[in-house]
Formats: sequence, C-alpha cells, structure tokens
Amino acid sequence: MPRGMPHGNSFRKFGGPDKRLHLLKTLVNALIKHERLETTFAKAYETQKYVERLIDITKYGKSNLYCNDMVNFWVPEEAQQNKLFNVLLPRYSEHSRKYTRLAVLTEWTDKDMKSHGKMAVIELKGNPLPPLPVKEDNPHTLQNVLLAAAKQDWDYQRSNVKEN
Amino acid sequence: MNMSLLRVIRRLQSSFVAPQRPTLISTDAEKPNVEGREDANLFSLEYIPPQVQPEWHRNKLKYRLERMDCLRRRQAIDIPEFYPGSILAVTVADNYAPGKSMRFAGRCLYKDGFGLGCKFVLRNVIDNEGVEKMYHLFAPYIQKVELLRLEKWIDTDLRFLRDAADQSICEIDPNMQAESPLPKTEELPVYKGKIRLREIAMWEFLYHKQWPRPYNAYLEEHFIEEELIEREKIHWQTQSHLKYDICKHYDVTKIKAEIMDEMKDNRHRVDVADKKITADA
Repeated sequence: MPRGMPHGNSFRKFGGPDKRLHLLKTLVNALIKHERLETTFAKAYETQKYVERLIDITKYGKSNLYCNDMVNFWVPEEAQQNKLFNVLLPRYSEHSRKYTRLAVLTEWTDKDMKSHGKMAVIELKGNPLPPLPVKEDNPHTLQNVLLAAAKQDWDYQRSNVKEN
Repeated sequence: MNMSLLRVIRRLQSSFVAPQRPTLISTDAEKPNVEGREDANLFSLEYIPPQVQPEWHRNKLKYRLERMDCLRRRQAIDIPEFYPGSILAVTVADNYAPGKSMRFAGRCLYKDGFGLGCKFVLRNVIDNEGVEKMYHLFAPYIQKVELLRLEKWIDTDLRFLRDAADQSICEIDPNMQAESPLPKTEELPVYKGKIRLREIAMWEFLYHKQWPRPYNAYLEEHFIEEELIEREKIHWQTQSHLKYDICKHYDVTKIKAEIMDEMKDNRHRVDVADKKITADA
C-alpha cells in the first residue's frame, strides 16, 4: 500500500468528516459556477474526484431518486443546478470519465511564501475561458500515431469477436 | 367431358388451407426475466465484488477467474435462487454418516460473501434446541441443494430470529414437501410481517442499535417511539457524513451491466480453458 493511504483510506481528512464535506461542497459549487479554480493541490485533488462522481450521477437523470437526493445536497442553489443539467451534461455526454483538468503551479522560491504550499488550478474541460498553458501530448509524433492506430485495431478486433 | 374437367379444376382451386402442424415450441414472445431475478448463469448477487478503494486497486482478472469457477460449479450441480428467509435443505457428503451423506433443512438467516466464498446459514429448531449450520454455496462436498419454500424478506440479516418469542418460525420439518417457486418472469412478493421478540434481558444482541434497523422485527413492543427516534439522532450525529459522501458509495448498476456482459463470454472462456474446444471456435 503506498504512503498517504492509512488503513487503505485514499481520502484526506481536512479537519473532520463534517468540515471536510462542507469544504468540498463549497469547492464543487464554486467550480460549477466559475469553471476554473486556484486552490491548494490537496483540495483540488479531492474536488476533482467529487465533481467527476457528481457528473456521473447526474447522467442517470433527474427522475432517479438517488440522483435527485445527491444533487439537492451538493448543489443546493437552483441556478447552479440548472447549469449542471442544461450546460454541463450535454457538454460531457460523450466523455467517459475525465471531465476536469488539474494543473500544478510552480512553487514559490521566496522563503516567506514557501509555507503557502503547493498550489494548483482545477478547471472543467471545454470551458470558454482562455486555455491554460498546459503541455498536452502531441498527437502527431510517430509513437502517438502508432499507438492510436493500435488502439483502433484493438477496438475493432474486440467488436468483431463479440459479434461472432 | 368439358363439364367433368371443369368440375375437377374447380375442386383443385378450392380455398382449403391445410392446418399448421402443432409444435412444442410456442410462438408467443417469451417474457423476459424480472429485473432482480436473472438467470444464475448471467448474474447473481454473489458475483458482485466487494468495494475496494481506490478503484484501480481492483484486480478485474481475479474477479473474472472467480466467476468462471462459480460457473463451472453451477454446470455440475443445480443451485437454486434463494434469499434470506427462504427454507432450504442441503445434502452434504459425509464419510462417517450412514449412506455417506447427511441432510439438513432450515431457514436461511443470511447469505454473504463474494464468488466462491459465498456462505449461508441455515437454522432449525429440533426438540426445542436451536441448531445452525453454515455452508459454502460452491463447496464441492455439497451434493444437493433443494429449495423447499422461496421467500423474500425485507431484511437480509435475520439473526434476530434467534431471539424470537415464537420459535416455530424456524421449526422446519425435514420431510417437508418442496413447494414450487414462482417462475422468474414474475416479481417475488416481499414478506413485510413483524416478528415478536422475547424479553430484552435474553437478547443475544441489542437489535435496536443496529443500523439500518431491522424492519421485520417488532421492536415497538420493547421501546417507546422517543427512544427509537433518539437512536436515529445519535446515528445521524456520528454517521451523517456517509450518506452524502458520493465517492464512498458503491455504484452497483454499472458493475451489474459489466458482469452480465462478461458472463456471456465466460462460458466460451471456461470451455477453452478446460480444453473442450479450441480457442478459434
């Protein structure tokens, strides 16, 4: 078991279970409203998990009891709920899992600011803001072209085997 | 000559249609199995793996191999579908018993575990003495599993029946005749009755402190409403964060669909592994 996972628990404590839930609730609501946040790395990492899980739940639809319950707790404001169902759901209808992007900022070299800790930026994909200067894999390198072709072959083989 | 020929032609052109030969295969559309009571070769509750966090710690190959082993066992013996609360009779191979096998009938108290580790407990009251026996569902020493009565209760953990006031619930005649269960195309009615328990001093476990509280146990006889509401408040104070912690919930619907897809291919995989057919077929 890697370090940072006491008793197999891969979640951070954040000052207690109730405080943690309240903190994550504010962060999730802020992300849905502003679509890009700058926080500490720990908070951003946790909100990433919760936002992605929340969007997975909203895909079940508003008529689902469980979905209704959870969305009413996590996104209590009606304006944000409408944004979640009408704007974010159609945007991520084809995405399978990763709806957010986490970019780590450079650390302060100044001794006084170093105690602020590792800062990070979390954003929802497909947002209308100017893009972050994040290095993404170049799809035109030889390796990536071959990998994409191999992936296509594998998917084609699997679909063929299933039909037969 | 012309008239007789015309009459023959008219007879050949009659509107007589030969009836269809009756076949044993019905032409009506087959009703599908009710959701929750699927074919055991496709899905059963013991095929759902236990929750592991984080998700990438799950070893899907290991779960697939275990499900294949369950399928192999199900091909050898007929394991019926049952829920906690139903009455079963199990024959087990025993070297030192007369006839080399032993039969025990009882009511299922709980069914727990994943894959080959799926266990269930049968309880019977013989001569005013309660007897419980635990079996592994896929054990190779089990020769026969007979379903005597199919019942489904709201609770899946019926251990409070040990402290029932009327012990005849678990008194099962070993020579009981098997009742034919409802077909899988119909929904099984759930038993919502409440069982009276004996005095609290004799209880094995404080059932009112269990959460979720057992529905099928009549606790209102021993506690007033205020006490039960207090219990709920205490539970809410300590465990309220778990109800809305979505990352710690276990989403079973997606896993069920994946398992059903996988089990369709598993028979082919099992035959290939047991070298009954080649991999190309």
